[in-house]
Amino acid sequence: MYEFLWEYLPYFFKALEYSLVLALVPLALGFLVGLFAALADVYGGKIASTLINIYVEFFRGSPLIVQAILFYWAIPDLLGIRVDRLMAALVAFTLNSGAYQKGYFKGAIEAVYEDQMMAARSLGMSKLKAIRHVVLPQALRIVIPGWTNEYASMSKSTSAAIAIGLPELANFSLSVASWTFRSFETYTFTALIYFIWIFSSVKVLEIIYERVKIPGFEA
Amino acid sequence: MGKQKEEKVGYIEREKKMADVVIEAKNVWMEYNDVIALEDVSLQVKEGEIKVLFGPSGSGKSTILRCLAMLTKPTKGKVFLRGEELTSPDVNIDKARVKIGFVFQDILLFHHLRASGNVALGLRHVLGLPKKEAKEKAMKALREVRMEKWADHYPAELSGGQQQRVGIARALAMEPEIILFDEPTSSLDPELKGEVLDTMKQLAKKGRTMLIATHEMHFSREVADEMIFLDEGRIIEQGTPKHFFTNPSTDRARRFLARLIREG
Amino acid sequence: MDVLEQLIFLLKGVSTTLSVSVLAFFLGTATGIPLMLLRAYGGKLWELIVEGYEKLLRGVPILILMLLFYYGIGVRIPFLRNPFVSAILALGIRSGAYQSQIFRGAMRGVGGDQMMAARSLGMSELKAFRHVVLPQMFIIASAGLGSEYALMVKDSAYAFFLGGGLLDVITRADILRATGMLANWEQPYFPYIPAALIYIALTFPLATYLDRWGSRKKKKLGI
Repeated sequence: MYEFLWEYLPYFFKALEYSLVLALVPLALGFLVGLFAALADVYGGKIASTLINIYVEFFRGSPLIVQAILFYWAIPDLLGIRVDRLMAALVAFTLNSGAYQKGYFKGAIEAVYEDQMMAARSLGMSKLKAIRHVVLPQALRIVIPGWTNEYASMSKSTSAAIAIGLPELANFSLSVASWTFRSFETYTFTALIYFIWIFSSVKVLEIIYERVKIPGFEA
Repeated sequence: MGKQKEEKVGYIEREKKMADVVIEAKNVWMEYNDVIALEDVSLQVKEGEIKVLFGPSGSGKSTILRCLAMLTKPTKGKVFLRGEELTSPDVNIDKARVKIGFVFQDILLFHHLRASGNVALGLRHVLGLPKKEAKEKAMKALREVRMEKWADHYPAELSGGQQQRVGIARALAMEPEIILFDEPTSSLDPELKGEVLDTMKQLAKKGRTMLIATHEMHFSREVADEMIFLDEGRIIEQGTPKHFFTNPSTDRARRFLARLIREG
Repeated sequence: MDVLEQLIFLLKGVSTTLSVSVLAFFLGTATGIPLMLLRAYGGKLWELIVEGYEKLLRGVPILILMLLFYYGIGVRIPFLRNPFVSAILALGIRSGAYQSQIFRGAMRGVGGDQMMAARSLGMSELKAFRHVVLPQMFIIASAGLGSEYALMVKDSAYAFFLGGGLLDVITRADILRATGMLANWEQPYFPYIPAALIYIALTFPLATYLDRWGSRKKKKLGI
């Protein structure tokens, strides 16, 4: 029943590769964006906080599809420039992931913050040093379960790139289904690929968390 | 308080006594995870009687109370309510529980309901009373514990002692045959225990049938008809308060009481 | 069309977007609670089955699920050959898996003692669940449910790719783009900006309100 898909297998993998790029790059860059945004929100004062929150609410409140379209078409149109498809997607996805990751970081920082900061200052540490050596190391560990969640979420959301015609996995499956007229098999097969991808990565992340977690501070 | 009549051992007298038993545990064993929490415990409480269970932590006081209310099922043995066997498989335990009032060590009021709501819940959804009637009965129960002014407060807005009094009202409202108290003041701050114990004394004066697990020795001396000493899941000794406080028979009881009284 | 007419055209899509989202959300609750109960009380076998089911539905992009229902199964069952139905079914079933988790955490937050207290009054397990445990669960779960609802609204946009003519906000934005292109406008993609703002208006206020309400209630009731 599924044999017909055999000849497309190498192309499925190519599409999967594309999806991986669309997931991993934004996750990594979003990590930096999110961390920065969280720190700015917690320590940056009222104005920074408000701006960050507007950014976060925009990207968390609207569909990723719309964001992708905005970044590839609408904004370049407004600015009168042309951008690369992949670039547009990566920027939109990075900002999107960053907005979600900011939430996880903020929660982790606040969970650690007060008491630990007080203890660190009592040793004579400056605020900056305290953040670097006491707060962050703990926060970065606590954040892992949330980050694992974001990983799974972003991996699935890469399908939004279909909106701007990128050859990722979901888009490819649509094409295959239309060529072969075998929608059921194509989509269940694609679902399986996504599932294996996400399930195994999450498992790995969970194992890492087990090794690294702070006892008594688990999610 | 039910003082026992002069015993005339005749067939008719004995039968009448049997009918007086409200709740009874017969050879109850409770085992879990290879721990024997209760070992062959038998006791009974008659109408109008007030009995106190006491003993060290982990002696099985809570466990036997839970078994009597069938909140936990005993591993072995039988539990009777007015002669009906609750441990039998065809019994409707929910119906039986209506007649057994339970007051918890952790109080366990329903967080999402006000005091009146807490007391009325069982009246409305178990006894099926209409809203108005349930509210009236609830207020009556709250008056009995002197919490009627707090009827509209949520548990979170009440002190521990006040919460526990509402807990007692909740049990009272169902008009039970007996009320089981599982260390009702143990989780309370010392200055709040008094109001709960006073409430319980009021109930005792009105002739309520009660089985109380507690560490409060002064209180027990005042209200108990009989005291039962438990240790490591077994009944070691039973007798009147006078007996225990003047001259306990067993060494264990003696040592336990000495320690308790020393610690005030 | 001038800007105002465009905006009104977009806003007309709100009812469709909301219908899909809200119905899917309720489908999620209707499936999520039984799933959670099955996992908690059904014994080891059901625990594994439900866990597997949840993992499966959370490991697949919603678009693929929608495509599967609309094209894959819709080929055989004409009922599903309707983008409205397929979108709701796909979103709802996936939401059920998520809500099951949310309720599971909430139930743990309520604690078994509340159930025991209710049973001590003679309540059956069912009644105790309905009158004592469930109300508290919803209060605890409110923040999670709020963000789940927001997710429904945003993911409803994927139904656009089913191509069946579901006139929700994003589809209307695309229609405006198409007419814009025909009319040779400079910026045919402009309507997507107000579209984004409309989605934000649909998600942000309610989710935030639920979150705040939940926090207040939890604090007040000491849950």
